[in-house]
Amino acid sequence: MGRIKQPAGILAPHDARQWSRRDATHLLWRTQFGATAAEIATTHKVGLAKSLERLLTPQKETADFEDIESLLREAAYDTGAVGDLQAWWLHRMHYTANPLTEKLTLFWHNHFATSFSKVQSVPHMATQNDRFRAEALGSFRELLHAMAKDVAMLIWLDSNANRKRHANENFAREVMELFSLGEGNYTEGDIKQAARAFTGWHVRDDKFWFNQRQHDITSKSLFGKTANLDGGEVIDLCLAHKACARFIAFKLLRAFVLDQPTDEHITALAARLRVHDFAIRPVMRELLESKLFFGAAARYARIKEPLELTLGACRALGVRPNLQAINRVSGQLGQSIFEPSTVKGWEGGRLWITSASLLQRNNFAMALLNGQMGQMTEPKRAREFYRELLLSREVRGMAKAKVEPRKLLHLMMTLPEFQLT
Amino acid sequence: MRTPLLLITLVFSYAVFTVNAALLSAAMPRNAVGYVEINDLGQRLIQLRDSAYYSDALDSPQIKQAMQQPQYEKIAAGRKVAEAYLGMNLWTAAEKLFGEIAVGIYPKAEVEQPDLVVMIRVTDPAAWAHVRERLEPLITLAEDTVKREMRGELELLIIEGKAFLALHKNWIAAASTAALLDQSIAGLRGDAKVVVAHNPAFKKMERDMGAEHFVRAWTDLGYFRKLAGERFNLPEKYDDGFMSLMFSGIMELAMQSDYLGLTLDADKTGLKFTAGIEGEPKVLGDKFDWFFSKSGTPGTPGMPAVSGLMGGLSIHRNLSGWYGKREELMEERLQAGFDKFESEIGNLFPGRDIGEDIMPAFGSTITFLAAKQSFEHFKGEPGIKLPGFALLFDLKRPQDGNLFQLVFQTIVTITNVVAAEQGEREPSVMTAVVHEGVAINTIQYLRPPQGERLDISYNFMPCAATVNGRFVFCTSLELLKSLVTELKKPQNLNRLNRNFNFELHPSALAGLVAINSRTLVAKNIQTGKPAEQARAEIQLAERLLKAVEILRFSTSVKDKGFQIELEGKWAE
Repeated sequence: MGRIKQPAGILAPHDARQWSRRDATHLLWRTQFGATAAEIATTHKVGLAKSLERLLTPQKETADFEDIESLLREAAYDTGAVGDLQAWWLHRMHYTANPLTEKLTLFWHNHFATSFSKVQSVPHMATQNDRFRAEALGSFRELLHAMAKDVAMLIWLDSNANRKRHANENFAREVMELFSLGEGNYTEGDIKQAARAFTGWHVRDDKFWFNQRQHDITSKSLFGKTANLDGGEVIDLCLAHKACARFIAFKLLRAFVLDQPTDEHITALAARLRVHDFAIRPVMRELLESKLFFGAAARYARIKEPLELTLGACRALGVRPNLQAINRVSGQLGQSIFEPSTVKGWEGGRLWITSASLLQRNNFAMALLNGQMGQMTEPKRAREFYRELLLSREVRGMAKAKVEPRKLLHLMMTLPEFQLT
Repeated sequence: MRTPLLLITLVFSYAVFTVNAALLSAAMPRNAVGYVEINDLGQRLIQLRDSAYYSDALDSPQIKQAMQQPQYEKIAAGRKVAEAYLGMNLWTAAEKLFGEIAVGIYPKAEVEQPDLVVMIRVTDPAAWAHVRERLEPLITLAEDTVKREMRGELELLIIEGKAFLALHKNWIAAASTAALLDQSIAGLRGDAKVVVAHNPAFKKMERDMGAEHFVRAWTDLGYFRKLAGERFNLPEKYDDGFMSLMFSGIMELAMQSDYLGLTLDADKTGLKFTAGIEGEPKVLGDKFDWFFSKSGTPGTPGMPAVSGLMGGLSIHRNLSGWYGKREELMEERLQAGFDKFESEIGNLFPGRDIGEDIMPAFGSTITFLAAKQSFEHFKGEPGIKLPGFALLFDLKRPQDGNLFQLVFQTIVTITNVVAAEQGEREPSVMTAVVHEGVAINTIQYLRPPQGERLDISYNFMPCAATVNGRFVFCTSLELLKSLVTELKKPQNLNRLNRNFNFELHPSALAGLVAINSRTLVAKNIQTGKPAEQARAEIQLAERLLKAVEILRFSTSVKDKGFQIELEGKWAE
C-alpha cells in the first residue's frame, strides 16, 4: 500500500506557530468532557502534536481507575439496573486517561442508538458499549459488521422475527437509514432485498446465532449486484456506497467540529474516510489538527451536549461528581445514556436547547455551585481565570460585574456563551 | 457577653451531693405540669466515653470529615475556653458535677412562656467548690448584671431580675421567679410539705412505670386536656385507614389518661426507652376491643426462632373487628375506598364476600419477618442477595387456609406469566413438597436457573402452607421449612402481653451487608465519594450493626396502663 497523501484545503494542518492557550482549551473541550486549568496549561505547553498523540494513542489507566471501574461494572451486573450501568459509564467518562475514546464511544452509542428500555439486559448493553469503545478509534467497517451481530442490537431491532418467509425489515432499514447511508440514498426495494439477506440472523442463549433454516438463500439484488447475498455482503455494499462516507463525515463533523457543516466540509472529510477505508484514528487525527477544526467557523459552533455541560463543568471546577445526580440531570436535559430517546439517537444541535431545558441548565449551574452535584470548594481565583476556564473568550460587561466569586461563576455558567463549545 | 458565659459555665457546673438522697421529684415545687429528671449523668457519659462505640464513632469518616469543618474548630475553641474557666476538662467536669438533674415546668396564666425550675445535685462537692472558686472572678466581673446575696450557707445570685439561682455546697437551684426559687430551696432542704412527687398523676406514673430510671419525664395530661379540650381537639372518626388501624386505640386511651410518662434506662448491656399512659382498654368499650390484646394474656407471639432471623413485626389486631366497625371508626368519605377495595380484591376470591367471608377468616395476630436465605436450589446466586420474607397470620378456622391457598396460586400464576413475558426469569410450574408432615405449595422452575448473577427476582421463590392454625406465605422455601419446624413446636405462653412487636437483629443484618458489600460500596462511590471513604463507611456500618444484638419497638397492655417500649441490647 502506498503512502497516503496529507489532506489539503480546509483539512490541511493548522499552523503550529499559531498554537495558543485558547486553541488548547478548544481542543480539550471537544475531545474530552471538559478540561481543568492544569490540563489546559499542559496541553498548551506541550503543543498540538504531542497532545493529539496522547489523545489518539491508548493510555494506561491508573490502578484506582481500574479498581473502581470494575466495582461499578460488577454492581451494574449484580443489580441489573440501568442506573448503575449509567453510573459506570459516567465514571469512565470523567476519570479515564483516554477521554477521546470515551467521547467516540458516546458518538457510536448515539449512532447505533440502542436502548435498555427494550433490551432489558445490563450485560448485553455493556457488551455493546465495550465494542463501541474497542472500535472507537478503530474501523467503522469492523464496527458496522459487529453491530449486525450484536445481541443488544438484534434484540432492539427484532431480528428474531426476521424469517425467510416473513422478512422483518427493521434491521435492514436502520442499517441503511441510520447506520450507513442516510435517508434518500436507497429505495424501499433495497430495504426488502437487504432484509432477506439478514434473515436467520438471530439471538439464541444470549448469543448471536445464524439460524440456517430461517435464512433466505435465494438470489437478491442490491445496488446493482445480484447474488445470493448474505448480511455481511449487504454491509459491504453499503460501505461501498458513495453516500456512506458522506453520512459518517456529516455525523463526525457535527459531533466534533460544528453543528451545521457545509457541503464542502462533508465532501472533504468523506474523501479522507475513503482514503483511510473508514479507519477512524487517522481521520480523527487529520480532523483535529486541521485548519477547519481551529478556524473561526468551528469556534463556539456547537451547543454543548448535556453530558459535556454537566461533566464538563464538574471537571473544570474540580468537583468530584455525584454520578447519580449527574445522570439524573443529564437525563432531564435530554441525554440519558443507554436510553436514547429514539432509534435515531439524540439529534442534538439546536434541539438541545428549549425554553424548559435552558432553565434546567441554569438550575444545574446553581445545584453544582451549591454542592448538590459533588463537593464544591470555594472559588478563590481571579475572575479572568474562571472566564478563560469556562468561557475561553471575552464577554462584554463581565469585567464590570461586581459580585462575589460564587455568584460570578453562576453568572458565567448561565450565560449563552457557556452553552457553546 | 459575660452574662451568657456565666450561665453557660454554670450549666456545666451544677451541684449537690447527698448520700442516699431522695429523687429530685421529692424536692421539686408542686404544681408542675411537666417534669424531667436525669440521674447519674456524669457516670453514664464517662461510660460512653470509654466505650468501643465512641472510639468507633470517632474513627468514622463522617466524624473525621466533620472535624475538618470550620464549625468544629469554633466548637473546639469554645470547649477550650470553658475548660480553662472550669480548671478541668469537660469529661472530668461531667463526671464530678453531673449527679442528678431535674427540670420542672410551671404554667403561667395568660403568658405563653412557662416558668422553669432547674435543680442539680453534684457528684463531687470538692470539685464543685473548685469550680465555684474558678467562677468567682467571672461573677465579680458581672456585678452590674448579677446581684449577690448570702443567706446562711447559701449564695443567691439574681441575674438581671430574670433568673434566680441558689448555690449550695452540694447543689444548685435555678428558677425563673423568686417564689419558685424559695420553694425549691425548701424542697432541697426537705422542708417542703407538697412537692411534684405528691401529685396524684405523678404517683400513678410511678406506680405503672417505677421510680428509678436514668431519665424520666412526666406530663400532666389532665392539665393539657383542660387547655385543649376533652379530646385534644381530635375528631371522633379517623380520616386515614392506616392511622386508624395502627394507632387509634392508643390515641383513645391517651385521651383518658392523667399522665404521659417517659423513661430511659441505659447500662453496659443496652438501653430501654419507655413511654406510658394510664388507662384500661376496657373503658373504651366494644368500639376498640379489636385493637388490644387482653391484659393478662400472652399477647402477640414472639418472632419464630428461625436461623438467620433479621427482624420482623408482629401485631395484635382483630382485622375482622376493625373492618366490621369501619363506619363507626372512620370518616364517611373513606367508605367508598373500602367498597372499591372490596370489588378489586374480590377478583382474587371468586364467589366470596370480603367483609363476610374473607376478613372474618383472619385471626388476631399478623407477623411479617425477614431471615437469611441460601440459594441451594439454584446453580448460582442472584447478583443482589435479599433475605427471605414471610407473612404469617392466625386463621379463625384452620380450613380457611384453603381460601388463601387459592389467592396464592392466582398470584403465582399471574407473576409467572408476567415474568416469562418479560424474559426476566424462567417459567415455572406449581408443585408441592411435604416437610414434617405439612404440605407446602411452591413452584418449580422448568429449567433450574444457573449463573453467578441471576436476576434479583430469583430472590423470590413463592411458597405457602397452613401450619398449626396459621397461614404462612413466604418467598423462600428454605425459610418456610424452618418456619414449619418452629410453628409446630408448642407455643410459649409465658410471655409479655405485647400488642405490637417490631424487632431488628442488626448483627444478622450485618451479614446481609457483608454479602452485598461490593454493591453497597459501588453505590456509595456513585454518590461522588472516593473509593477509600466509600469502603470505610460500609465497613463502619457493618461494625455498628454487629455491635447491636437486638432493637425492639413494642407496645404492651398493662393492668392499668399501656406502654410503648424501644429497647436495644448490645452484642457482647
